[in-house]
Amino acid sequence: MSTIKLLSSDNAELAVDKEVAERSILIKNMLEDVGGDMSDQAIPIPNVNEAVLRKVIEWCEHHKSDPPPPADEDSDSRKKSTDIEEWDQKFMQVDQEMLFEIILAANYLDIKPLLDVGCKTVANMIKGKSPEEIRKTFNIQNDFTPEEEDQIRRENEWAEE
Amino acid sequence: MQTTSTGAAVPQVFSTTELLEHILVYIEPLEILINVQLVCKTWRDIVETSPLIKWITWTYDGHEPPKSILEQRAKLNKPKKQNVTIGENVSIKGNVKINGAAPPLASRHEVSPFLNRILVKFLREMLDVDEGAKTAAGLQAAYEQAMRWIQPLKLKICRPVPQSVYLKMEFEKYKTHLPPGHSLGQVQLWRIGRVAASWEKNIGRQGQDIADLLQRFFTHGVSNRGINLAMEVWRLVEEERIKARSLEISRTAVSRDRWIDFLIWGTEETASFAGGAHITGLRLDCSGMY
Repeated sequence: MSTIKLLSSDNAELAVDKEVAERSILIKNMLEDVGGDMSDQAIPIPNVNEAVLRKVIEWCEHHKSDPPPPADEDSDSRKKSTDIEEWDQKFMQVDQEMLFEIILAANYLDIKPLLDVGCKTVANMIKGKSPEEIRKTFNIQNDFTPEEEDQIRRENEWAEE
Repeated sequence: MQTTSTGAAVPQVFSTTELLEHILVYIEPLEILINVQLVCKTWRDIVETSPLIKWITWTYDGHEPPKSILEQRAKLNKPKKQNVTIGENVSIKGNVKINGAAPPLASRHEVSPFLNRILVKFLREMLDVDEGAKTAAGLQAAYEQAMRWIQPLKLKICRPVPQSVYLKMEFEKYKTHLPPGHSLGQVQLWRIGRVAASWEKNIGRQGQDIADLLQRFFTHGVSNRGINLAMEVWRLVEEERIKARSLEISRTAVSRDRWIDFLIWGTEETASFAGGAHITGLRLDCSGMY
């Protein structure tokens, strides 16, 4: 099995199986473009630092033999399930910053199943919370004027019990 | 841009439209409307402008789903013909009760997850009208007020838009029995005989919003036709009354203007016999779609 090298944004060189690295569509396409021979040269991943890249590689290694996702996955059905398999749940038990770094990295590297898991994890942190609780969880500034807040509330009064 | 552990990743994810969308698709539509869009302006803007989120929350104005969803669906088999009955036994009487949540449709047609909620809220507003004002005029005012919040929502009954929407209503008569020594609140109700009258109307292609449905229900079921049906029920009740003289029957005068009072409140408050208007069915003809 061939190995390739990835270069993180903070200049750490990580060796990884080609098969594992190809969970990233970005890397897969890149390797195809250069004809597959990158054995002597590290591929720069300028948006991802070492800690995050190691985490992403850990995920890719665990999931390297997953079957490809069904091509005609209905985007509507996605929203119905926020089930996350146990290994992924444990994997996502990281501090909030790391969780969001993983999402950004999965988006940049084009690893859709990892992006899905990350987004589901965040969705689960939002579910069942009031606007104030959501703001507190993610340290978001409330930039509405009281009048604007009232207006949105009034428009959606019908939806409340 | 380099991501470091300085707390930058969180705002970066939330300010990237596709990523916030991707997170929100996993949240229930009601939660998005009630909680999510009140978090901050960025989140509200996504809820108000993203075709995908608008589709999920049933606030998408287009009759057709956004392209991204259409592309997914084009791969599914096309349905032949489908009739759907929902909202079984929606009744307006002393209390509002809706049995039977909208079933998931076999095809790609979906009934609004908000239909029952809006119906209940609408009927409650009719019922909450002050006792003294519960006349045709009084209910008209309550109806208009309800329409002021329902209409702007532009919520579709079903999507994609079906061929036709049929609203079916039945008017039933009831016999009440007040056991000796019991107060009015303990009146028992029996359904007697069959449905006194029923009515089904195609509310047509233009009647596709929940607001249109309620408008038809009010004008045909409650105001015009409703008067005749209420009178019909009352006539039958009168016949029953003659047969059942032994029952202690108290009856308040029912003028044409107060028929709704009878129709809606009669069960609980005044009459010993009462009729009830039910929305017994909503039939969606989805034939010829796609």
